[in-house]
Amino acid sequence: MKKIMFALVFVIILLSMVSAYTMESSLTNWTNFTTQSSTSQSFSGVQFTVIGSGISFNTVNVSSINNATSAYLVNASSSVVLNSAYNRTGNLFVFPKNINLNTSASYWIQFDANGSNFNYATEPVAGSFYPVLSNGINYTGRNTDNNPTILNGLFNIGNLTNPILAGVISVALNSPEDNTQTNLNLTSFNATETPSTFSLVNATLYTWFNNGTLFNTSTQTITGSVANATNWSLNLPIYNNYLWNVLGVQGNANGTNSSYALNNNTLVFTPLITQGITFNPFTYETASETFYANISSISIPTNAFLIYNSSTYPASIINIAGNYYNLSSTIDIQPGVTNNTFYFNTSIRGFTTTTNSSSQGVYNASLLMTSSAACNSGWLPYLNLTFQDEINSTMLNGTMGTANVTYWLGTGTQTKNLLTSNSSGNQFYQLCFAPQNRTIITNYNFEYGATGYPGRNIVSTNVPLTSSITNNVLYLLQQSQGQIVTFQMVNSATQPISGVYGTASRVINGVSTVIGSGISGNDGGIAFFLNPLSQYSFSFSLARYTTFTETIFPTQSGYTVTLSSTAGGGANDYTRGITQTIQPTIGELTNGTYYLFNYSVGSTYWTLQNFSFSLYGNNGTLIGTQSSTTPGTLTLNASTSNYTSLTMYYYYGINGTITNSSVTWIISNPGSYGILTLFTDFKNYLIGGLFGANAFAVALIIYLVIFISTGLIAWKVGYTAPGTVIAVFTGLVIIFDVALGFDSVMNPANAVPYFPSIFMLILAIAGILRDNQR
Amino acid sequence: MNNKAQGLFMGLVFAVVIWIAGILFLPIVISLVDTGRTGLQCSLGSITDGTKLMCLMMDGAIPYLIWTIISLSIGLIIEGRLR
Repeated sequence: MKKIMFALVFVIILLSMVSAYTMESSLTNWTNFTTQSSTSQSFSGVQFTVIGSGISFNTVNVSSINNATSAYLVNASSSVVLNSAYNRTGNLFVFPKNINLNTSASYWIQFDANGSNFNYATEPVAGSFYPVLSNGINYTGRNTDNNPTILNGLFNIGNLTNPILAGVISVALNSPEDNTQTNLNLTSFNATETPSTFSLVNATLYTWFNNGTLFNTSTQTITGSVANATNWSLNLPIYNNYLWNVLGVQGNANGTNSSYALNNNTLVFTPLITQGITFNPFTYETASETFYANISSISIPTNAFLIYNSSTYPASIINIAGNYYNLSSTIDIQPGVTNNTFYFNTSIRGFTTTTNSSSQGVYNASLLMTSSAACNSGWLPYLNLTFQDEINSTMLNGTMGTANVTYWLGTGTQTKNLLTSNSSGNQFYQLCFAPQNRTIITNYNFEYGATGYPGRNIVSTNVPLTSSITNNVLYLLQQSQGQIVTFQMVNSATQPISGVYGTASRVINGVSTVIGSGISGNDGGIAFFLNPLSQYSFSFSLARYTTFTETIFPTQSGYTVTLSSTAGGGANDYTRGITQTIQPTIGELTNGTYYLFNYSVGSTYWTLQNFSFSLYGNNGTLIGTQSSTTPGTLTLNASTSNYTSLTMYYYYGINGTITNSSVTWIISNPGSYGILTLFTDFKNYLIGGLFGANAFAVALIIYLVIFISTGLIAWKVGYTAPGTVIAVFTGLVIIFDVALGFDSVMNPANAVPYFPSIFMLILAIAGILRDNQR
Repeated sequence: MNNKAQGLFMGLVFAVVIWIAGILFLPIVISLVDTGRTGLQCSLGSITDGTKLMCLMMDGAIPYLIWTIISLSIGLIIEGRLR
């Protein structure tokens, strides 16, 4: 009997192996699945339509895709539904999960070449559809475009151990909808599982963190052969973006008897809910734009920033009513025709969170110089330059050696530049601007001339131009009628002064007209080509100097102009006219949070040579350094990390003299309201100089507290044994040294960490042992 | 139920009431502390010493409140037991 049983078992095992081998053979015996180049997902790949019942698969078996490393399942809208990225084993492409395909929908299966998506794909017969068979998809394809031989084969889909079953369960995720934001940690989930063929068994809610780590699974038993709506409640532990899906199970749970919804839903758990974002959907380069976000928040938001095209700008926070706030920021749009994504971020209870993002289209704002009669279509002339002889007002054909124009639409923090030249003589030049009917501000420098007429310069700053065209006549003087006259700018110590803005003007047709202007270089010189027989008016100006004006016949080749310093202020008062701004100025700095540290310097009196700041952590670590040579704002986006304080050392330099200072921020954790926060702040304030205390004074205070506390306890309780007194003393030392973090004060050398506590522990043990011996 | 048991029971009831009221009050105080610390710029090292003391008092507000709630609750229970 035993032998018969063994034989029976042997036969059963043998039959199973033969059956498995047969199935394996049928799956791998699929050939002529050739590849070729394709640039588009559409109309490439094996196309099939799910007919009758759905299909679930997690492997694709192909025998001759030699170069492919991944298989892709693409739906009718050309979106990748699943990919088997780099999971290929031999000829088996393994998809990461089972997926339920929609009945009557069309799909393509495509392959790549060495990770380059869709470069190689199977070539289908357009418009052909293939039914799902019990063991795969019957397909027809062709091997190459040039040789469209029709190949017939069976495209095998299915898990070898879980062959495709007739039934399918579909899952629909009802709520929360995809990309829902919530500030409630207790969240309800709802999904509907619809069975087919078999009765429902259970449904499992899967939730993942946004990095893909599984957070929770929750299974509910369900029954019946009709659609079932299932509810879950889940406590979300931390603010995060969560993904969720539901696995519905029917019948024996094999193959298509268990399935997820087609796509995961995203749920954003945040302390901030975006109520609305207001902005201009389209704007122009360098224009000034204001962005608003209305939010509701569980607590007061602090440290708001606008993140626009990956750049960070400070934003203001206004409490509208109750828990509703308005975040806003006004910026100048960076040059570049593109769609810029932006959002706000802010800190709420120490957690940095963001609003919904939006996108703003940026159009071109450009200036062109042309010598044509009309600007291009869509452009309007803003400035018209013509040339005349200064003496007889004859019209001239002028050349433009260099035209250097900086222009902007907003406040000037973002600018564009036009640098061009034209060496052929033209009657006029036009500056054309698009978009039309917008006012631009310009700084320009035109170097112009004409045949037989030496070159002249005209320099001007902050000149507004509009579509109401501005006509400028540029005057020239014949070579034979003039001479070069140089004006040397010096101060009262006869040192040359650079940066002086000088103009030369004369009366033409009864109107005082600027015929040339320039800025002195390092040698202090400004040169004009002038007629010595004509009277000219000159003006030379520079901040902190008295403007010099004079009207003369320029008969000499050179003049010295002495500019006297304006009255008031000491000669070396390098704080005069200096304005400094440091941010962040308000709000708490919390640990582990990024802040925008700004240092702005403006100067209305002195010429700023340079300015800089360095940010250090409390342990002396240099976090970052910024510097500049032109007045403006230095910015450093830095994290408070785990520092207890941050110090910014900043300075500015004028005439080789450095004026420096520093500011310190205490880092706290507003999310903690415990006794440790109290003592941490107390320690930081003491070390920072509370009531003039330094580290030694703090150590002395701690010693007095320990000494007096020990004495009071001994007096009130009545113990006198030395060991007990030392034990109490030791306990207080440990509290201050270890628990409250005053170790840096009590043990400044820090050769042995927590040395006071260790030392007192040894003394206490010795004292207690000695008391016991007595 | 004798008087001692009744006293203990009433003490427990009052303790629970005080505890719940205190816990409900806690978020309001936290919000006020946040507002106060933000307004006083407690994180800025350059604030005056007086402002720093105010900041420290705000730091201590929550622990003191919790101690008060616990003390009152335990006190009511003990008082009820001794009655």
